[in-house]
Order: sequence, then C-alpha cells, then structure tokens
Amino acid sequence: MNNPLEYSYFIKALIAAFLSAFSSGLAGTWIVSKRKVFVTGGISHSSFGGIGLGYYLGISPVLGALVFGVLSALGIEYIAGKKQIREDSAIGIFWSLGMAVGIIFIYLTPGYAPNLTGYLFGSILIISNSDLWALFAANAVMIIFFLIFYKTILFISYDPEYAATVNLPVRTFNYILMGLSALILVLNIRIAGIILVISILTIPPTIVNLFTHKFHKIILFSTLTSMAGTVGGLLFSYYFSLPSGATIVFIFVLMFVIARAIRWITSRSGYHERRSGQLSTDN
Amino acid sequence: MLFDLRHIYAGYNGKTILRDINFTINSGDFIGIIGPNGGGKTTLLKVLLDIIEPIRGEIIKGEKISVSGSKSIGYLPQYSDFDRRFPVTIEDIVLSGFITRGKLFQRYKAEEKTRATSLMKEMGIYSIRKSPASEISGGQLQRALLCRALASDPEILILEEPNTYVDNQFEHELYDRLVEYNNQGKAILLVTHDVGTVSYYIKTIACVNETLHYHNSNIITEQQLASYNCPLQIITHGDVPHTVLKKHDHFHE
Repeated sequence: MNNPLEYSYFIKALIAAFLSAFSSGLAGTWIVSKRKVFVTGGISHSSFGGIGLGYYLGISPVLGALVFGVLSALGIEYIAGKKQIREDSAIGIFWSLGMAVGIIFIYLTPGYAPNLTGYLFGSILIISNSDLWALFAANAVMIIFFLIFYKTILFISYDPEYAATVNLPVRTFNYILMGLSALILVLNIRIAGIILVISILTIPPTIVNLFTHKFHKIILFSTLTSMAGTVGGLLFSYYFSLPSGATIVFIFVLMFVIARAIRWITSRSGYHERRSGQLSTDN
Repeated sequence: MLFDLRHIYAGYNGKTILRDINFTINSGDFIGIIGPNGGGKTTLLKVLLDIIEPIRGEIIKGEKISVSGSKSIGYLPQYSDFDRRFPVTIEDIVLSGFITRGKLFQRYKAEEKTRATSLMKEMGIYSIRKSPASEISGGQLQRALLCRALASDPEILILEEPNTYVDNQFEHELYDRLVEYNNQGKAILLVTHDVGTVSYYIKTIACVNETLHYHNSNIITEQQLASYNCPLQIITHGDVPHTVLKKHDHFHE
C-alpha cells in the first residue's frame, strides 16, 4: 500500500485530527469536568435538525447544524438554569426535537441528500478547506478565552454557587462556554459524525482524568492523548480500509481500557504498599 | 457600622420568608444566628451577600463594605453543593478567594500568593496544597474553604453551619481562630443550629424565624424565649448557664 502522506486528502485529514485534538483538550475537558457529556450528546443530535434544514433550503448543512447546535446548547442551559425542568429532561426534548425536524426536512427535500451518512457517521477524509478554517477559528477563540479567563473559568466551574456570592457573572460565563463548546462540537461532526462526536471530545479528558486531577494538566494531556488517538485511528482506518470516524472512536475506547487497567494495577500495588506500611506500624 | 437593615422583607418566587427585619451589624460583633430550618436564616445571608434583592426595606452599607464590595465579605458556605469530583486542587480553591468582579482576567499577584501560602500554613493544609478536592477529608476541605473566605482579609466573616462536616478537633480550632479574628476588630456572623457549642464564643444572639429577635447577650432568659415564636432547645453545657426547654408550638399572625 502507498504512503498515505502522498495523498492531499490524507494531509487534510491529519490537520483535521490535530484541530480536533485541541477541541478535545479545551471544550472536552470543560464538558467532562462539568459532567455535561450528555448535554453535548443532546446538542450534537439536535444539530441534525439544522442539517435537514440546510438540505431543504439548499444552503450549507454545516451552517444549519451550527445554528441548531448553539441554540439548543443555550436553550438547555437556560431551561436547566430555571430549575423548573431538570437538565436531563431538557436534553431529551432538544435531542429528539432536532432529530425529528431533521428527518422531516430530509423527507421533504426532493431527490437524494448527498453525504448524509457523512454527517451521521463522520468522514474525515472528505473534509473541506472551509470546514478546517471554521474548526481552526472556533478553537482559536476558545484558546484565547481560556488564556485570558483561566482562573475565573476554573472558579466559576468548580463552585458556581460561591462564585455567585462574590458577584461574578456566572451565568454569562456558562452561556459563553456552552455556546463555544457547541460550536466546536458541531464542527467536529465532520470528523466523527453526529452519533460518535461526543466520544472524540470526551474520552481523552476522561482517560487523563484517571491519572491527574489538575485542570490545566487535563487540558494539556488530553490534547496530546487525542492527537495520538486520532492519528492512530486514521492510519488504522487507511491500512485496513475501515470508516475513519468509527475507527478513531474505537481506538479511543481501547486507550481508555488500557489506561483503566494501568490505573487499576498501580492503585492495587499502592494499596498493598499502604497496607504493608500500616501493618508494620501496627506491630 | 457595617450593615444596617431597616424594615427588610425578603423571599423568593413571590413568597415572603423574612418580615420586617431590623438588624445592625457593627465591626467587632460576634453574632450567632439561630432558628429553625426554613425560618429564613439562609435568606437573610443572601440579602447580606447581595444575591437576592429585598422585596421591601432598606439596606444601608457602612463605608468599609460599600468601598471594597465583595472583597469586604468573607463567606464560608455549607459545602454540600460543592462538586468534589471537579478537578481542582486545594491551592486553586484558596487562591480563588482573591477573584473579584473587577479582576476577572488578572493573574494572581505575588502578594496574593504569599498570603495564600501563609493562610494554608496556619490552617495546616500547606503540605497537601497540590491534592485534589476529591482526595481530601471533609475537615481538610473545610479548612481550605475557610482560607478562601479569609483570603481578601474581609471586614465581616459569614459562616453557615460550619460544624456540619467538621471533625471535633477542627471545630475547636475553628472557633478559637474566629475569636482571634474577632479580636482584630472584624465582625463574625455565625449561622448555626448548634446553640450549645457556639454560646461559648458568640457575644450576641439573633433568632430568625420569619422575624428577627435580637439578644444583646449570649445568655437567653426565659422571658426572652417567650418572645421567640420558635421551638428551640438549649442544653446545659460548661460555665454558661443554659435553659432546657420543652418543644412549644409557635404561631404567626
């Protein structure tokens, strides 16, 4: 088989993989730490409504998905903030509403909807230049936002109730973080698809979180973990002719299982050391 | 004077919880706030912390409070709402006590880091400053939260049920530390249901149950109790005379 780097589409896919790794590092770490993994599940599925609308109106489905994704993110945040409807119920409503709207519009669109499976399951190998630029821009905004407000983001995220008592703009920050995360999530749909996108954003921080509880270290190492996983997955899918998005997710899950096993072995040996230490002091 | 509350009515969702509260807090006060659950203790704190607007009435803030805003109030909440699995270290928690609305994007200053270090050393948590909140004991977390509350050297320190999750050893340490802070001329507001323990330390008592009854002493007489309208029990404990009361019904017009 040829060297994959001879193909321009493969180079583009590698760039996409690197950009996606930054998404996982910042947006992903925030999502996992705030326990918002299923909020992002709701956002990615509701963006299907925008994809359907895009096909129906003949505009870019990605644009439609961005609008639906960001609006549902802000909607879930707003409804959950009101505390009259629980967050998981709000997720359920947006999740199914988006899917329903998407299915109706695709049904109404005359003829065949091209690349539809690409949106559902991801197709990193046919990603466009404008997709890459959009992903780059969204990540750049997130990086700048984190660089400027890192300590405030950390404070507002770990203890929002207390942050509110010192009059910090907790809700504004939550809306900005949720909106930016939704933007980044939707742009990653091109890589892994609506169904699998939450795993490529949230598995790397979950893996790193097994080894460290420092927020900035999770950001840094989940970016690196994600790079390793996406590039590994891409090469694997190339050499074995498998769908790229699903292969990347499969590699991530494999990495998680290995990491969990390592953590189990090290904590067990630590346990035995602690126990033997305790016994010797007891004697 | 730090706070002067005049005829305050406050509550949420159209429900009035506090009625006609008149209450003054001065520098050097050490006030114990007692009262039944749902009686409005937390609502009173939220009014003082500026989280909710009173429905009616007037809050006059002293110069020390109005000039430096949230920096002049230290608050130790009941930490039951705190997500301890969030990846944050003890040091992160203590340092966040320096963040105010006006300094959202500034980095921590050298003197802030020095003050955080000396507070952590004083509280005996300096050696575990890199540990995550998920791996420390309740007492250690409470110490970190107290450091956070003290970070900005506040004029008034508000503590909400500080003895809920704390081990006995830290409880005494905490109260001694509060007395010391109070002796520096700072005001302390201690919200608690554990009247027995705190009556050692507090100077005055306020009972909140929809209305507020203020006692200019740490000893409550039978007559004063009659004016309470709330069921409470005081246990004989140490040198301070206490009364044991049977439960009584209370009525509001």
